[in-house]
Amino acid sequence: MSPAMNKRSQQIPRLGKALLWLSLDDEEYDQAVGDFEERFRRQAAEEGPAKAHGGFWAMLARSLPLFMWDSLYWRGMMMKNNLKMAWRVIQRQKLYSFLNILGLGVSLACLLVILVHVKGELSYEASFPKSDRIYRVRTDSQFGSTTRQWAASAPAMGPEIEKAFPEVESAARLVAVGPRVIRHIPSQGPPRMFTEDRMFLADEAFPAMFDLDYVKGGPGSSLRDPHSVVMTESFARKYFGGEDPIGKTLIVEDFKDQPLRVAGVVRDLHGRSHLKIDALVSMPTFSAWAGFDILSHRTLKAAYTFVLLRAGQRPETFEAKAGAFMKAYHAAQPTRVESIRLQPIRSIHLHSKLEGEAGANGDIIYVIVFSGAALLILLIAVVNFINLATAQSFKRVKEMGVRKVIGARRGQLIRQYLGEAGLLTALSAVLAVVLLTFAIPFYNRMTGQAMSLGAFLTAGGAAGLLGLLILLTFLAGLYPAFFTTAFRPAGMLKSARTPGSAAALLRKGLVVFQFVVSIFLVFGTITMAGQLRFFRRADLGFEKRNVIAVDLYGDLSEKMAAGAGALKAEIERYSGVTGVALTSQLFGTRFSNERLTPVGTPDKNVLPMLRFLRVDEGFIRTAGLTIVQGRGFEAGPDRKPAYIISESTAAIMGFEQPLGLECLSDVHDGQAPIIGVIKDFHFASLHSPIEPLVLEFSPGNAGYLLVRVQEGRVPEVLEYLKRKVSEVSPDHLFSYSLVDEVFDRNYRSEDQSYALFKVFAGLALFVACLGLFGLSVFAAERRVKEIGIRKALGASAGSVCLLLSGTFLRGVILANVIALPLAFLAMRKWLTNFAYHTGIPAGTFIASAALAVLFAALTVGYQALRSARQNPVDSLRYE
Amino acid sequence: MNMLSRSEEIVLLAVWKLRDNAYGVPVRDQVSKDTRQEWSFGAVYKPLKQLLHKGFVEKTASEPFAERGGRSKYMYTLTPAGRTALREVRKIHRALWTEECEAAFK
Repeated sequence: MSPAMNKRSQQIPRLGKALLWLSLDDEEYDQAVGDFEERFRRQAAEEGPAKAHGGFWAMLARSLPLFMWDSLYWRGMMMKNNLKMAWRVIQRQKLYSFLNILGLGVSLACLLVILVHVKGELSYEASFPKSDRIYRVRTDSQFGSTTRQWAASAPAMGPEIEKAFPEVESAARLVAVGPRVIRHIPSQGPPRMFTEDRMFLADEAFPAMFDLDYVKGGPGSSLRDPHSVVMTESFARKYFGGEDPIGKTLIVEDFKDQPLRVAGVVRDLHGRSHLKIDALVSMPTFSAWAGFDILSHRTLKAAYTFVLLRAGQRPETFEAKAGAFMKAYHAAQPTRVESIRLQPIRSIHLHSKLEGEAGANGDIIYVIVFSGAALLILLIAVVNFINLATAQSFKRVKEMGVRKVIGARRGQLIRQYLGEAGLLTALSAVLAVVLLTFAIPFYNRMTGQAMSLGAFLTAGGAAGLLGLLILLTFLAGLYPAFFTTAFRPAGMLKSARTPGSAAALLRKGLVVFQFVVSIFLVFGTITMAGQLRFFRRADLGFEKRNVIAVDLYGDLSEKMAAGAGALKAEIERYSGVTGVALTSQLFGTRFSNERLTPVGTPDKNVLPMLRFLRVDEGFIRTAGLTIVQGRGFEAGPDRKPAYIISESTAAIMGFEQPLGLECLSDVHDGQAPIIGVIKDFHFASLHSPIEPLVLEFSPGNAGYLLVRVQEGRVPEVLEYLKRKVSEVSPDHLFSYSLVDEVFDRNYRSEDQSYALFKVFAGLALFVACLGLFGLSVFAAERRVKEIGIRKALGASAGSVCLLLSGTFLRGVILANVIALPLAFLAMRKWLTNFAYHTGIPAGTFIASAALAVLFAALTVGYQALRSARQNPVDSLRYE
Repeated sequence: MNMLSRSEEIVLLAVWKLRDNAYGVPVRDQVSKDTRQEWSFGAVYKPLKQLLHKGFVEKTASEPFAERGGRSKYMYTLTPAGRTALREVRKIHRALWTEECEAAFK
């Protein structure tokens, strides 16, 4: 037999050995290889090497599954053991566990709320199956030096796009109806009457494009004929109760002679969308209401145009041809500068802030900031975990030493540590869920959303949470596990010192990090509060408080116009009322976009866009505006059309001597003179610069009656107005708003952000202080004897206090030095979002620094004072 | 109480029968002979580990042997608890197999 052959019959194959090694522990591996090899040799000697190989592999194949199953079984037993030990550790170290569970639980709850919030923000339009192919056509118009970016486009645009672009499968227009009183008169019983502001005029193609789910009627023809309406189930229930609504009629106030016939009912739209739709009115109704063929209007930005691209088509192909299309579209007006682009419908909610949006949209910036802040707070809690674990590892050094001496391997100790971390994380998750039940109502109140605990109970949510917990366990447990188990047994048993100055340095660094984040958030919150205060209190150039705006429509607006304002005059005489005026739109909303054309201008397409407001003679006085030139509108029987312009209108139009200039507006043909100039004032939110404004004397276009009331008499005057209106027009649904509330609604998004941010800043500081408290307690415990000796030698309580808290406070001060400049830069950037904003006063720096230092000092000082006041006899006897 | 499973009982009896020579290879041979079935090493180790855990056998490593590639034999010996366990099993067998059963399943 050759030596090679000999070797081949002596040893089991190397691959087999490797497989055994993989599935067995050290000693069992030794035993198994021995047994396998003994059998192998015997068989090789008796029956030859070939047989022996066959026998070996057969035996291995039968054994391996059993080995693996067995090792899983024993791992499970070990895990149970580890968990039991971990539970004992948690019980023994009550403070440590409490601080960790509280910190992690609070920040986990916070993160979960934000995750669901973000998921909601990102899920807009997702419930429409074709949403990835639906785009909105946006229009950019250039007027002289002004640009307008519209969310809407002209009614004629949709059908022409559909014809001109083969990429477009269908186009559908949507026109907001605006708040209207809708009435249903049943065959018996009182009429049902509600104000609806979620109604739209829609093209026939709309239901198919958005896959509306018809319960009654069909998608095919329900929106073809004028005066037909399709509604959601809950809308139908509101007016018709349990009756079948098909064929029944609804009456729209202002168009009483044109009742709407119900042609279909669709399921309620539950998914989030920037379009809040309760009912759709057929598009031809639009022209019937307008009294002319408004649907072929080529410039009026009245309709949202949605296009459905064919599968596989890119918006870029569309946009490449859009220039040529627009040239052809405006062939009759070659000087008109306009371009169109496509917005993916899914990006509208977070990325679009154009003129004439269907509602207030969200902002991607806040989504990012909130997620970031929530993650940072969680990180602060993880840092607590690491810091507390390494800081008190000296307590466990002996335990680890003993375990090592009696034969624990490092892997086992690491597993034990991770088991502890895992158990703490799991307990904090339980706390987080408990906290969520409190946090969710708070969140809902703040954001107007309807989040429920159920949102977390999905399979994906559970899996995600589990994954997060495992990640947290490793993040928080891995470093302490490696750190504490790294020491040699001899050293571990001997010493009672905290091992490793590297860990102490890391700990200090992490504390600085925690406070950098906290101070940053506090600074941000204070700045936001300042800006919001500014929003509310800034001098707008008119007085927004104590003004009631009564909605005028139907009967009431006719009565208001009739009798040369007799009703108005009567209201003005009521005690407590100091001014009454008519206006077409309310402050704080976007006014109409039009041009003012001086008589004799050759091409009005070069003129800038101005804001128009149609008012009566009482407006300037009631709003409290200042006339700088000329005069206001005048009452009296011979009221003539006239304009009053603002100073910035005079500037942008280049009028040197505006008074007496005859002008035309876009909607009225008759010319009228400019009779006065008023000082600029903030009629829109402070987000954007003051725009040029034109007031046109036109009480017939009034949409609201403004009533200025003496301070404190708003409720009383409201009662009077309600009574008066029901006297004049008994059938009328009285609706009103307060001008300052309408105006401040523009700051809702900032209000919500501020409310959330305040909570974040508070939580960050709280969790950071939890960690600091733990660290100071452990530091004091470790230095108990040192303090005793110092005191015995005559140190005062104050100096001991300073000694104990000094290290930590130095860290917090360093954090201030890092955080304040960063926060300053970030918040200065944020403030530039607003055309009008406050500065960042020195007080903000002082306040955020002081807040952080104060909280840190209180946290650390409590423990320091306690140790400093201890009788040295007790601490020195302590062994 | 810790009752013996069937495979534990078989392996434990084999260990007792083998006395001073009870390690992996002979134990496997013995149980295969006793049960007239071919047992794999895996099938033998599993009950042995359980028996060790329950304290019915002890495990000691011998001197290294050349035929095992210089590895030790891991010897199993019965503990007093193991003997008691076997006695218990025997009692249970007796109680289960009444004379009537014996006659019926001859």
